[in-house]
Amino acid sequence: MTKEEQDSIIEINNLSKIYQEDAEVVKALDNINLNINKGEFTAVVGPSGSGKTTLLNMIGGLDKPTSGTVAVDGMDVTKLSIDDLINFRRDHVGFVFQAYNLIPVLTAKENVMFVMDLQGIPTQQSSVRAIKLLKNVGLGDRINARPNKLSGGQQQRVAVARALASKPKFILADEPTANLDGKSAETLLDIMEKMNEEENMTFIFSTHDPRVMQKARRIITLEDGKIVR
Amino acid sequence: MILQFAWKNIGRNKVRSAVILLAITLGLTASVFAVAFMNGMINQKVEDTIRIEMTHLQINTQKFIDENEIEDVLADSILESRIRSIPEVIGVSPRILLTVMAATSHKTGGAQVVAIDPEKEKQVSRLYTCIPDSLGNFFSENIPNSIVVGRKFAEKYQVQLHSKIILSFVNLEEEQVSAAFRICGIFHTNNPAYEEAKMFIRANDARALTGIKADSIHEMAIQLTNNKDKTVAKVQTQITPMLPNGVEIRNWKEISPIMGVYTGFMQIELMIIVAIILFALGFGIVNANLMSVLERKQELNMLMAIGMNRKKVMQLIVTESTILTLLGGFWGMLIGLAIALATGKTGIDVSASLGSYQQLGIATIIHPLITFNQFVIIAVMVVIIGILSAIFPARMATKP
Repeated sequence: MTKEEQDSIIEINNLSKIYQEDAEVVKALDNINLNINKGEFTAVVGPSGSGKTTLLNMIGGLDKPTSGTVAVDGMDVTKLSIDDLINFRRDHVGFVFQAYNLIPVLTAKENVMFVMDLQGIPTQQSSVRAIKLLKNVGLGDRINARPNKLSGGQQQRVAVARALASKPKFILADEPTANLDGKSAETLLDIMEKMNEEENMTFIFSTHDPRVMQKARRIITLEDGKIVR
Repeated sequence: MILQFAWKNIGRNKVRSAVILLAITLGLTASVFAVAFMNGMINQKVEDTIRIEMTHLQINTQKFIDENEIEDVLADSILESRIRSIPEVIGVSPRILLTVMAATSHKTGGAQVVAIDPEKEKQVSRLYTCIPDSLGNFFSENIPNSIVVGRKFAEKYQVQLHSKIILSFVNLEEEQVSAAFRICGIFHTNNPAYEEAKMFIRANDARALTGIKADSIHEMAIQLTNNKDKTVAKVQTQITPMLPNGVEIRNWKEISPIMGVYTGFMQIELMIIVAIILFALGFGIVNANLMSVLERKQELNMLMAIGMNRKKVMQLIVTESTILTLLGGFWGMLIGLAIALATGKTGIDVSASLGSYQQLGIATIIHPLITFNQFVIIAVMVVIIGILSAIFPARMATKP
């Protein structure tokens, strides 16, 4: 086994996703083969409709492929049942969405604690970790603020803290900077880069944003569902 | 966590939550009051039947029950004192029952005369309280051949206080006997049929006319401390061994099976009404939950994306619904109870809208009443409705 195979956290083999729309067949992903190693800071880029989000959904177990496999730490997630997939996502994947998707009725701290509560971590323990994570993303003074009292950039930083809360194997970030202004995007990317460097956290982005591409240490380019670079 | 999250979600759309709360509160207020009102009607009818018309228990010879002949008497001297010694017994009234032809200057017709000792009769029947001051009294003056008749009889036969009535009946010698009686009192009840058919004279007058001996009676009417079936059955069982052969003791439901059926039907009707109200309420809650869930579908999908399993999402929605239902239910039941208690004291005059019910012996002033058991049943139904009405929306929410 090579060093690369040992560090490989995600192995994708012959992955295809075909959507049938009336008579039209759309190949969202076409025979993708890809390995992602632990600690990578990877950007998946490509034009709209190239299959970036579909690929991230397959890796995160949010969608099932038409064929092929996605193995995370050797476990084929495409074979998991709906309920097992939910548990897989809870324990192994951190999500950062374009629209932040925080729970509006919960404070920043409660949003971060939420996934840990789902994991059954005692409240006191999850509270301490949530505060620590919020401090790490520069929101130590906003822990009790609800999402509607936070700026877009702050909300996305809470989303990053939430994604890290469950101690996932990797973080999937779908267009994380798309709704942010330049300064907020820069701050967010710096935070994620710092997490990647200090904690060896694996980040996989889908993005159009040149600032993300600039920071990424690996860029995977998709076109018409195929990896072209 | 689920509870806290559910509580916060309820506060998210305050207007919708307030509308649901209001609907549940009003629904439950209506349910509790409907139960109390119907119960009041049933209770009043049963109370009137037992305390005025029938008494809890009656003893007759089987032959008298079957054939209603004047000679089918039973001896009361020892029996009465033994029955009086039972703690639950508050009164015993020996009665002579005669089927008579009553004639006034305007009309002649059949009736049943109950010949009583007025003081003993007062122990078993509140009829003496049903005579307005202006319409005489219940044998207060010691005038022979006095008679108390009902308001309906007085109307139909066009008689009034102190009018004369001729009663004709067969005596023990099987001879036709007639005697004139003067009305000393006209009673009012909620039951016109009873008012028309029953009339009361003194037992002594009846004995003098029929030849029935001093210790012989047709019926012994027994009144108990309460209406509970358990008490009635207990006393009935206690008395049965005291009775000689051929003498029967019957409780009020056995004497008047129609009353038993009537109260049974009313109870069923009551539960159907409550079920309809709660069923309609349940649909309202389903609709509100469904709207809430569909509005939040994206968020619920996100929760499942970050690892909230379907069971927990369902728990969340069921908890939200249950909290709202319990809150609305609590206030609704409290308000319903308060209205029932308040109107229970004052009574509600329904003569304008339910006047025709009086023909069935139902009072036109209803005193709503709700029992602890009925209250608990409604509370349990509310919880069940709250949970059931959340299940369909919860399933919709967790549909992949």
